[in-house]
Amino acid sequence: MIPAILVIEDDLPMRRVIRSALGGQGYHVWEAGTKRDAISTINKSVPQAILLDLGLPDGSGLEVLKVVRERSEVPIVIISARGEERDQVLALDSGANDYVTKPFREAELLARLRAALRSAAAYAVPLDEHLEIGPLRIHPHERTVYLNGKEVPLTPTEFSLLQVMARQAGRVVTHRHLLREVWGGSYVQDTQYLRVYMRQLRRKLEQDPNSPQLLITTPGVGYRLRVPDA
Amino acid sequence: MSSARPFDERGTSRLRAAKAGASAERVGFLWGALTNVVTTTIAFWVAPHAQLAHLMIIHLLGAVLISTRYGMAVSTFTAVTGALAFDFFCIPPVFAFAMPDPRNVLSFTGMLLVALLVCWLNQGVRQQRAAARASEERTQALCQLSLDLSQVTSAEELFVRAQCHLRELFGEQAELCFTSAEPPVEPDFTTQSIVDHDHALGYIRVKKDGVASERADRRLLLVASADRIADALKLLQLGDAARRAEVATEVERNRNALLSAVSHDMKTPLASIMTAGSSLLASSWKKDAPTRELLETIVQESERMNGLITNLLSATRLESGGVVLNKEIEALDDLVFGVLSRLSGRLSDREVDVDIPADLPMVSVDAVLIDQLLVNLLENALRYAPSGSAIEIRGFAETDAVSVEVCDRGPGIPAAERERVFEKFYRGQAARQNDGGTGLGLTICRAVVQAHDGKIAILSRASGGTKVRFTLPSSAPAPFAAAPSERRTTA
Repeated sequence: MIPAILVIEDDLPMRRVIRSALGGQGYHVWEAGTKRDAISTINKSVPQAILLDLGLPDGSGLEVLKVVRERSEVPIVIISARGEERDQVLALDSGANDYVTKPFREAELLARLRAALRSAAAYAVPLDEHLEIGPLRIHPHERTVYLNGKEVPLTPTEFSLLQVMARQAGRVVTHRHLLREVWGGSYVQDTQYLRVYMRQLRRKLEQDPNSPQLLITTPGVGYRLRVPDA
Repeated sequence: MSSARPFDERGTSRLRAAKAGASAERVGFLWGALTNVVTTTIAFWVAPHAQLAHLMIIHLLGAVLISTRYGMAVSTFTAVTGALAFDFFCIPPVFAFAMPDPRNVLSFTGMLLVALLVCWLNQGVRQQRAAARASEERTQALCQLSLDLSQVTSAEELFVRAQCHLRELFGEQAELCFTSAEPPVEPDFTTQSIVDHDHALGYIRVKKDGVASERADRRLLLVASADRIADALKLLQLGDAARRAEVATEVERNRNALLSAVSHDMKTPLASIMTAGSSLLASSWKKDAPTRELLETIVQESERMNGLITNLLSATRLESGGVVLNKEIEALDDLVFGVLSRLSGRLSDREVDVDIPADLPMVSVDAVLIDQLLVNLLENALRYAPSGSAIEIRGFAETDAVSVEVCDRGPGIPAAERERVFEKFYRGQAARQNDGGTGLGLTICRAVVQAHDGKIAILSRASGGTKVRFTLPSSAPAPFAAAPSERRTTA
């Protein structure tokens, strides 16, 4: 099946560029320029993925996000401008899967979209099935991690942290999400725990902890487990 | 305006009193004479039924009455003529000045002395009363002056009002002059400088006038008036400065709003250009090398322009104070890695040496702003240090603070320019070529660091190159012992 992507973006030239980029990859492209158009399109039929600009002329993209999430887990990638990090985080915490900051290269947009589509598929994988991301192999049942075939000893917290990120590999995971999943709901403000464990994880998994290639920081938002060639 | 009412008559009463003094005295002599005529008539009429002592009391009464009302001359005149009339009409022999009875000489002398004594005492009371009234009038005049001057809105209005008051107080020849020059010295005039902390604002010049005691009064009034005018001038200048500052702030605010709106609008088409360019580039495997190069230029230059606009936006936002810090506990190494991975394409031909100890205290910062700070510092290093040279990033702890140094092997910044390069749009000597810089990068760095109560400086590097060090207060040590213990979770 050829996936249909709904592009919700008010700037016509930008929509045209995205349409051409996605079309070149063989996606079907649906378009909406306003919040109203977007919601009426979604009411008719849910696409395989949504690209959503947060600033729409007749309301916030966050409202569209809410409407979509009420009925579907379809992957949503936010398109936002720099300086809107707070809205990005809000969108991610409200169920968006990833974001891309304007201006972006075509390759970046496609990579984010692919990661979003893929991890939607990954969520369909049973929890105890092993995950393979680049040089990493993660066995949830045994709670073991192999780096280039060699087992790496991780503490339970380190393992949980890696596992949460691995299940959303290639996508950014917000601080809040990581803290909630690993430490529990009452620790969502305690980013310092996250910093310390991320440091430890990098020391164990990165070839050069001073030049991380796997665990990538996205300032003000969260972390991303990089998927090779994505 | 309420203050435009005519000047109060009270201020002028002294002047009028002085003019009226001479004619009042003439009237006083007449009153003295008339009083004596009345007392003598009464005394003459009751004389057959009274003793000499009673007649003396009647004459004395007239002299005392006059002395409560008039000055020493009139009182003395009344006392002496009253005594003479007493002698002539009452002391036997009547209708003659002769006093054969020595007891009558005693009565006459006693009456004269008592009358003069009472005159003299009354004179003192009158003078005290006059002094009290003068002092009250002075106070009122000064109050009126202050009140009037406090309501003026321009130096011209102040001048006109003050001049008007001074003429009322010191006569038509009183002159006010606003100048920083020395007042001219003239023998007939008294001048009083108007000063504000040894800084001459002008002077008042009034004609010397009146008797010595009045001159002292006028002197006091003059000094006090000069003080009031100086206060009013100062107040006016402060008001002017405040208004100017307000206008400047408003202009700055409008400019920032305009810059902000324009830069935001510029980013939208730029984003389309960049994505479109990158799309063409991605599908250009079939195109020739020059085309690829042109497409690469479109993408890179849009990226660069976006960077410039971002800096411009940040500079205006940081400057107008409209930035709310979104602080979180961050590890600096984490932020550095974030920037390095984002700039990895452009850093590919450099050796980046990161030395940040794992136990470096964390900081409570706005990650997006610190990210921009680091990007700007690294972009400077990329721009000015030769390709292939090493860039070092070092972090170290200080007392209650954390410092990060970004060092390159570029031409360095001479000591004389190390402060100025942080100024808006200032470009260092070595940077004044067409290198794509705007002179905003370091300005933003400093604004970001200052927003976090930190410091930033350029230091000398012994072996050549530039070393920028910024210091941020470290957050309270994370209570890591209290961190939730390692627990199994099935996330």
